[in-house]
Amino acid sequence: MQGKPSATWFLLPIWWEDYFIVANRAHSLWNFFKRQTKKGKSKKYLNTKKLKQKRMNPFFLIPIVVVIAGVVFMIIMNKKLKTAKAEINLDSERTKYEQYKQELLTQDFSKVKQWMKGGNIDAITSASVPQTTSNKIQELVTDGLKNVALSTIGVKLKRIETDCFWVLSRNDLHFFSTDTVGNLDEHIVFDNFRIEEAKLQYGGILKSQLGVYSKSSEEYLPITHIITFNIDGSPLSLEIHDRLNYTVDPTDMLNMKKQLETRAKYQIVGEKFVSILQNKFPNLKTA
Amino acid sequence: MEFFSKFISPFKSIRLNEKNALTGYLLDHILVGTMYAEQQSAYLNSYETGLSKANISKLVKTYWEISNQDEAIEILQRLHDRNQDENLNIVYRAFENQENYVEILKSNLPDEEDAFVYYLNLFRKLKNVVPELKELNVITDFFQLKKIKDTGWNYGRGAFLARCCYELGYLSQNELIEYLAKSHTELKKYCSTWKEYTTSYIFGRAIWGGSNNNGMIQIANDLLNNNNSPLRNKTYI
Repeated sequence: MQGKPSATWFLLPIWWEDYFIVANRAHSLWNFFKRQTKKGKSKKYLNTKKLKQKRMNPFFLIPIVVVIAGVVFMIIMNKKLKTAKAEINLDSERTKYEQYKQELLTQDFSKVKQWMKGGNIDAITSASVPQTTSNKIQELVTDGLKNVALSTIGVKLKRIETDCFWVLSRNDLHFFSTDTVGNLDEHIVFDNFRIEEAKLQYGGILKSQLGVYSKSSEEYLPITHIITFNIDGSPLSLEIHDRLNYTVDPTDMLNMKKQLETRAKYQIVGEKFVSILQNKFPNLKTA
Repeated sequence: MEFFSKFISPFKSIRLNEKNALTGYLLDHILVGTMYAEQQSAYLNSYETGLSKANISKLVKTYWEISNQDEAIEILQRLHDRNQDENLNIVYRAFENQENYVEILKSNLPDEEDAFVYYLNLFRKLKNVVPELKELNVITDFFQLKKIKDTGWNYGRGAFLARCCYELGYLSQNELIEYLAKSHTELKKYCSTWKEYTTSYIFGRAIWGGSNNNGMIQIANDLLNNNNSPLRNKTYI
């Protein structure tokens, strides 16, 4: 893993701002409470209170403490991240492709194995529906579904934001899309003859719909290839990621080593997809 | 009146001709077209369809593009010939051997691009239709379809279309009787029971038209189970 600054550093200003707001609000509430109680208290009591008010309010100390704790936390986490990164050698890990693939198919992605209903899984990776494809399908729907074959496949690809997967199974490419809770939404099979007519091109780093992402987290973003099928004369493009999509498990939030090891496995299994596909279908080899 | 009959006819299950009803083997022969006839709300037991001339004309001319005797004979013959297509067996074999389908299709189907694409599309349709028919409990296994194929759909459409052509004067009664007898004899080679015939018809229609076969399944169930249906007490073709 290449050494880059931790992606969590940029959160610091946000935390500071949040704590500052919370502290201010708490202070206002405290003053309000005091004003309310002032009316019913004796003068003697009020005099004692006035003396106390001259002291510094302890709520203003909270952000300072939080910032210091945050900085210490960041330093510790960053150190842990660097150590964990140094311990992972991607090149040697890549030799364990088959082992990792089986491991992920029986654990993290066992649902894909279920969807394949016992079918062979030669390679697996994440996928996505490009915005352009989604737009084109929308146009087809609006135009009264002119191309029947494309619309049959197209209407199944209306989601662009949920998890999708590619599986290469012998001569077929299986595209799975999921719903918002991760259950299978659609299963589309592109057979050997469609793949033989398809084209593959480099698609660059996958950007979110708004194209906004932190520079420091760029190394975790998938690089895509775009495969374009000819569906009875109409092109249909879909994205192939170079890794399986990884979402940090909340229970592993502080376990940097586990996070990086899992990321590495997801990358090793996913990045092999395109080369396996190209070996099977030489027409997909890019220049 | 025709406007109202269109609304009423779907609710009239099993139409029988009480004046000129056929019996015996002639009835058996005409029953080959019973699925299509029921779909059109026509008589199931006579040469006459009981449909209006305008309806028959529309069906024959618009949907089948038949406007004379020659075209009628050509289309009716084609519906018989389709069942002898050996390439269908190759497509079915490829469907059963998912691991080797590429090799089976490439080495055995005709090289001409149009022909190859035609059978490739049939193969693709099988991949959609067979799981759907299993889900709808029309079949339990693809093996059932291998024997019966879509012959019920082909002979069935031919038999009813022949009746329509007879009513329009494109076929004589003798030609119709001969065509129906041949349809019955040929159908028996593939389907042993009327249940197999209805399954084969549903399968053929699904291959042709895709999803939404619940209507056809309902027609088949009605024909096989309704007390008024001529198929009710007949198991074997």
